[in-house]
Amino acid sequence: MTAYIIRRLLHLGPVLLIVSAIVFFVFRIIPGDQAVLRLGEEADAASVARLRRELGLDRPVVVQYAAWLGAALRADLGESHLNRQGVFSLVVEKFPATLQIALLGMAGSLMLSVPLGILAALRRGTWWDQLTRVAALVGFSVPRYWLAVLLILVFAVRWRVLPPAGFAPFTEDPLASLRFATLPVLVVALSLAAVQMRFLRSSMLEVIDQDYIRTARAKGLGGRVVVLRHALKNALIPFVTVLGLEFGSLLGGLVVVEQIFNWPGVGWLMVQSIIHRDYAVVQGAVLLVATGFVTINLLVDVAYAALDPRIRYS
Amino acid sequence: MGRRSRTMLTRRQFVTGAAALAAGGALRWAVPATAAPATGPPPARPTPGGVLRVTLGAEPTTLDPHRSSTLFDFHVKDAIFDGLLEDDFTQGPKGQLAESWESPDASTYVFRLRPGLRFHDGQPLTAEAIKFSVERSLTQGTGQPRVLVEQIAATEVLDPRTVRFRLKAPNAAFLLDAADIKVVPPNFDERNPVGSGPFQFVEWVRLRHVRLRKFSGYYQNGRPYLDELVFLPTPDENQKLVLLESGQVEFTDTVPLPRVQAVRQAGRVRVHGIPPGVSPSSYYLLTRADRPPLDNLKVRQAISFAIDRKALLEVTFGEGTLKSNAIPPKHWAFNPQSVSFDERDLPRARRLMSESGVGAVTLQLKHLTSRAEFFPIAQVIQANLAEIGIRVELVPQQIGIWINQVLVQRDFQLGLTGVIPPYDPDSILGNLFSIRRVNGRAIGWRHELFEKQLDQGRSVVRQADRKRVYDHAQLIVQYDAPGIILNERPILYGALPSVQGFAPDVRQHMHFHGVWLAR
Amino acid sequence: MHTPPWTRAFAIPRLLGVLRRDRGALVGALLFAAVVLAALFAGALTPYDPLAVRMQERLQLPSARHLLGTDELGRDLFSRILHGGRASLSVGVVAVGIAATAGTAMGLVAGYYGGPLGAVLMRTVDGLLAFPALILAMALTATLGPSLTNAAIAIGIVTIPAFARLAQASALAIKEREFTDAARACGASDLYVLVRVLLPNHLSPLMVQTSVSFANAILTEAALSFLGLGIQPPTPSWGAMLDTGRRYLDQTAWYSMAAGGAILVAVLGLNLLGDGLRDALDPRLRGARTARLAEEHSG
Repeated sequence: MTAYIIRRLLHLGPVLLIVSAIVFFVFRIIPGDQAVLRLGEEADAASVARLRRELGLDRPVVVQYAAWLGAALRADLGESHLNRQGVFSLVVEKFPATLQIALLGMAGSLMLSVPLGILAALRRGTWWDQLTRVAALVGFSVPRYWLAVLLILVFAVRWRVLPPAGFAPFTEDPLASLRFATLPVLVVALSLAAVQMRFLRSSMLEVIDQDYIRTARAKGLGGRVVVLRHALKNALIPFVTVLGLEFGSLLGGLVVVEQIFNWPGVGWLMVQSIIHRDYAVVQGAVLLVATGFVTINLLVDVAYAALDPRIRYS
Repeated sequence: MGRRSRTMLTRRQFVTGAAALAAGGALRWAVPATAAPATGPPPARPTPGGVLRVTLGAEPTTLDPHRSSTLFDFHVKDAIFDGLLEDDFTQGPKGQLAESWESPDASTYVFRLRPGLRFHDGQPLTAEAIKFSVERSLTQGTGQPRVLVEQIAATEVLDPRTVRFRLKAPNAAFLLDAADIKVVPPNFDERNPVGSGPFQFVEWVRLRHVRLRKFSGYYQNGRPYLDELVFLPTPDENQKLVLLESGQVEFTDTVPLPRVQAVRQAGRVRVHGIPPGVSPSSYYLLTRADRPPLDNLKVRQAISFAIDRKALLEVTFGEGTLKSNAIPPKHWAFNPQSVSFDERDLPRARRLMSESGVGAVTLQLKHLTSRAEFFPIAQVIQANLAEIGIRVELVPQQIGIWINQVLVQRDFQLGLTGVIPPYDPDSILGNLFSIRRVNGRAIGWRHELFEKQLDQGRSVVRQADRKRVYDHAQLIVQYDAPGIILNERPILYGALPSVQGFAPDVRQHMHFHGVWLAR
Repeated sequence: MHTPPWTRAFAIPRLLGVLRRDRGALVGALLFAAVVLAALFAGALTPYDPLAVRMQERLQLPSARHLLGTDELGRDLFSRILHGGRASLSVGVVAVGIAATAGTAMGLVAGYYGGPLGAVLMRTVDGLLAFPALILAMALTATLGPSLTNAAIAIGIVTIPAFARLAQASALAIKEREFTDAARACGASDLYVLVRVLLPNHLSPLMVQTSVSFANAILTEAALSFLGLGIQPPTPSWGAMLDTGRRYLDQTAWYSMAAGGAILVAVLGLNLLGDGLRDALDPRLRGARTARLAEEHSG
């Protein structure tokens, strides 16, 4: 077990290195110079040159990369060129908002997908199963932003029951915060539930089909009890790993939802920074999100291995 | 003899003009200046207190008043910093930091400050601070704030409350520029900006808000009424309305045009605006007039004739008004004799194109994204110009980038923006077209006679004489079309009914020192 | 694998067989075919030029003249939706083309050779995989400049990992089989083994992945256009129309809804088809392939 963990950790290092390299070099393709961007209008050639030297833009690219990486390891990701706020603190500041939607969204999705998924597996072949499958497929195919616009139209415009947008930090005003979060959470929950339902159903079915379940049935235990106890338990492990992966990708994947609802989370920060050409922020945010994602993947893999001994040797 | 009277002040004009200014100055010396009058229904007594939350179309680029470049910078700047005079000149100049002024001639201006002025941190505001601010604008400023002070040859502190400016060249419109020179203390730090305006800086949380609170030492007794003023950058226009209608903000800096009519009818929020035809606000199409094919006069004229301004008026849902002259139709300097492109003339445009000798061509149009209507306006232009053989590529750009590429680096062919120059015709025509100022420099249109007209307009004092000059200048610039005006850009604000005391100004700057919230 | 090795000759009849048996896949195939045909023959299906600006007719609701109404510049919405399909589909084709070629090559090579080369290749793939797909695509189009081509390239790059992982798994599974050993015993070169043995046996998972990734490419392109980073006006694009339509919900909800509906139909068709293919061609794939399912749904 420890050998596995160590192996995965060793795996982590090079991946993160490659991630940082991709992040760094992608932003080097930008036409236009950070120095000119910073100094803005009427900048004369001399001050631009001076600032370039200060920012280290005249050194070879590889050296710049090394310097940037070194600083990043010390949690120094530069500063936003608009108001000099540190990138790291900016991202950390916006993170709770994204976390709020991610957690509530996942909770909501589970409330939908678990009962429905199990029911669909139990009543396999009936119309109920078909309905769930279709709903899941549609939910899976619907673009989230369309769903968002649709929900806004229905709940906020036609039936004025929910606020179409707005934000209040949870720590300051939890009730208002939850009210504003309702629509974005609904969007996330519905789309996540669709994926989860499909998955839960298929992994339960896989288990139900297996021999040992038939054997247990033959031994005379009640059908439903058998399924719920054995099938669910076995399907749970991969299901939990899916959840972990979903969560990891949600952290960066809420971009469009945050954009529509003007929800100031990490994804929203990235879009705004791209618009304002604040590339230091985009770079830092992408790096942090990717690192988080890789780390969560690692944790998920380790948990999966711990729970299911069959996987460890693959 | 006729020539002499046109280019130089005659003795009589000089004396009359100077006397008028002196009299006005003496009058102001004796009578305290008033703030801009609030329009609208006669108010109940203002109730102090409350927080006003205002949306902004974009994050400000800086809080340094000498480096501000976008409208959103200006909104915040006007709350934190004061200048010598107030912004809105439609009813004549009004003193802000200055309680009186005089101008012995068009190159010399003396301002007397109010007594007891202070900065937010308690430092006294004296003539020294004025001098410091001017010098800082020159050394560290950029863009318009710097260009304004470049005309000053010397700033002299006569006594702690009196400052004298000597200009390099006569400028009858200098008072307007004085309004834009914002005053900062000698230890100014942009991370914690200190000014002397009605509100003082609390914090700027990127992408979240700019928070200001009331400056209790403001020179206008009792004002500002509000305890706090919070600006919320909200790039999505619909979002602004949503926030307003749900009561999360009290004031929006724009109203999405497709919703204006519905909002007015619903009556839940109020729409404040400037009546059409008054404001110099315009949609403005810059051309790179010193490079082919746009260096060809006929091409520019063809473009202006080919654009369907009626269709553009539809894009703005009827808000604003049809115009093709930078000087608004209700302005005293408007010259109805100058070429008008109000009516689309496609056959003439086509004729001009073929006469120009320029064949089918592709032009890049860089346009702003700060208002949603820029997109359909750009597409209408694209469709219109396709009909005269010009293929247009659209490049939407965020305002900071647009300013950098179009105005600074001049890397553009066509540039679409919205402008609101100050009310004086020298500012309207000069800021938009003169090669010595930012927009004109980007355009690159050199016209000796036009520049001479501008100089003359600045040196002449009587309005009737100035009108003659500007009539002539309009004839020139309308004919040459170095920059093309595409209708008035509507100025509309949204506000909850509880917001009282707000008066829109023709420059679209929002002023909140007289605003209060009714309970 | 318990089925005989596949060569390309068997693929098409097998595919048709799947469609005959699985109703879901058939519906999916028909939906998608409808989208493709509508896009291809857009010009013939509607008399309106999708770019023709007619301000007098702006923002109309559906009528006999305009099946879905008009947009803010008076352009016929139905026509723009059909033509928008062209943009979305071409981005999908290019993106999946790039991803399938590069990804499959990387994966097969990594799986077959293993060792340090394989490790480097797969670490790179893992690196790419670490980014939420939309974020990386956004970053790429932001730096390269927003356009149809760049969006296609960006999405292609972002989709490579899915194909690479799949190909690697295939290669690992197949390289130990008898026919591989037999081929090598006959003196076949590495290249021959890769192209003539490994690749054909990889076709069925490849087909499944292609349809799923195509669906994702359409979704991602729409998201990019929605954010203003993809196809630029006046070229119609479903994502951009969905976004622009939000401004005019008061005047006509059909604007946004139709654009979103078009995306839904295309993606649904592809997903149905993919599901059917997966169920029929490789039952193992139905199971706990955690990585793939989680990857599939992007922001």
